[in-house]
Amino acid sequence: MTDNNFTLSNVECIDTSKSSHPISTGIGFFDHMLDQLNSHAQVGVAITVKKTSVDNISSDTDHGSISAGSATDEHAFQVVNRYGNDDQGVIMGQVGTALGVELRKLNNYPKESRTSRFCCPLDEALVECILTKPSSNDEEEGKLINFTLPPYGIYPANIGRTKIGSMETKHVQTFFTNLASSSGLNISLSKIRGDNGHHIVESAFKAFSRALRNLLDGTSTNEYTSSEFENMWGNTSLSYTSGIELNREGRLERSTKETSILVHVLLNGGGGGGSNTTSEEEEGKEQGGNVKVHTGISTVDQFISILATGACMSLEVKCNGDLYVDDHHTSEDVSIALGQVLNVALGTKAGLNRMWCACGTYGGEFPYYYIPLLKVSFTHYTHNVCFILFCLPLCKHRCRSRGYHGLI
Amino acid sequence: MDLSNRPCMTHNLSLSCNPNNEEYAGDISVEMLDHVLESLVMNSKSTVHIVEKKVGRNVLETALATAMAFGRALRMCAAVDPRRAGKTASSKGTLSV
Repeated sequence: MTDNNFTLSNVECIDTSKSSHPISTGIGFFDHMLDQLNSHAQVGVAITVKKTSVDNISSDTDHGSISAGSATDEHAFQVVNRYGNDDQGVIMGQVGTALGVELRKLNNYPKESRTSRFCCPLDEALVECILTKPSSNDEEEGKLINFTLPPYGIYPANIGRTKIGSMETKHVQTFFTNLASSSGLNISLSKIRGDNGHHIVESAFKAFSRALRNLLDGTSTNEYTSSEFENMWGNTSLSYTSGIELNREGRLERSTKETSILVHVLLNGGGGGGSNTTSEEEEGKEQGGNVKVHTGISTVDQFISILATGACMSLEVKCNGDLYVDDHHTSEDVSIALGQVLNVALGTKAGLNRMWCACGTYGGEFPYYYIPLLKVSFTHYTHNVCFILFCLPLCKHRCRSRGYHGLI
Repeated sequence: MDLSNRPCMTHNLSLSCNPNNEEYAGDISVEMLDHVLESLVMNSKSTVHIVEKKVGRNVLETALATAMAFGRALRMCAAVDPRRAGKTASSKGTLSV
């Protein structure tokens, strides 16, 4: 016997503040996913789901009072996961609808057409979320434009996980469909990489949350010159001055038989200004300012200099290595040392933005011979074009053992 | 990029199958570019995914475009978010150590 009537209570989305009410949907993993909006959208989410008529637990039980520490307790497990397969589609759909309605009420919900994008990594998984607030005359509004998360993992092959914890994975799409519909946002969720079902779903919720934060802030992950970006993250922002006040620094000096290395990094915003304010050539050549890299391998010097300049940090790297043996020891030891020093400088990572996705381009336009071919008549070059188009992905796929999911 | 304390480096850069079969990018062997990325990310204890959208004219361009994206992402990950008031950006409350 199932009763698909549910009551949703204490439904809240509060901008940059936590709610005093719990997330208690009766589906444990789903609760955990909605909690990602708290952590990564900085939107305080609360929602409690109860069966309207017959509930198999006391209706006045405060589900939200269950502490995380009691999660291994069998009773806690049953309370947290109180709704099974028959109910989950309805619940996750209704929760999506209810939260979308709340999101729309936020003060900084975009009033005009706006788009944000976030690619969120979670270990091996990478999910891209694109959120669009369409213009008022746009026909497509509140649609789940693209949804390529399934299969949820590679075990079993081509099928993935049907359940994560007690949550049926097939309802993730229902949630986002309804969330899109009631929020008025067009949502696109694309799995770029991912082998572990838990990671895929969680990175989707995180990507959505981070894209939502950017949408609410009016920022874009690939636009560093807007006034919104400047206010939030620019050189006059509270973020910037707070970062300077932390005096974050890392320094390492050491010698082995193969290399003598000094790496000194200061996260002081001093790597040469905003990364988009200089052209790529200037960034590449810029050895002045506060970035000084001398390893004896000019490509490594250039690579690290561009990286440090883009990261707006001050960096000194010196390496005297056994280049008479090979480039191996010098380049490896420098990057190990730089990684270690960055880890020290970043410290506990508390209070940091923590995640971002960025684009970089270098050099000229797409230069390959098959571009002109594509521009000419297909009737004359059909074989050539097809060969190149199909062979390039195949070649890449064969060559890379991992991390390739068909993107060029 | 995710300053996660869980080291992970994944990329699909066309290093081993670059169109010109280059062995060197500038004055570094292409195999060491791969190794440099791995060493950097593992030791910084971060998670980094690199998605190649367009093949560079040569591996050097690919590498330098990577450096640019890496730097920009690092800048933004390392930025303080004042709204977090010193709290860790995680549903766990702290990162894995």
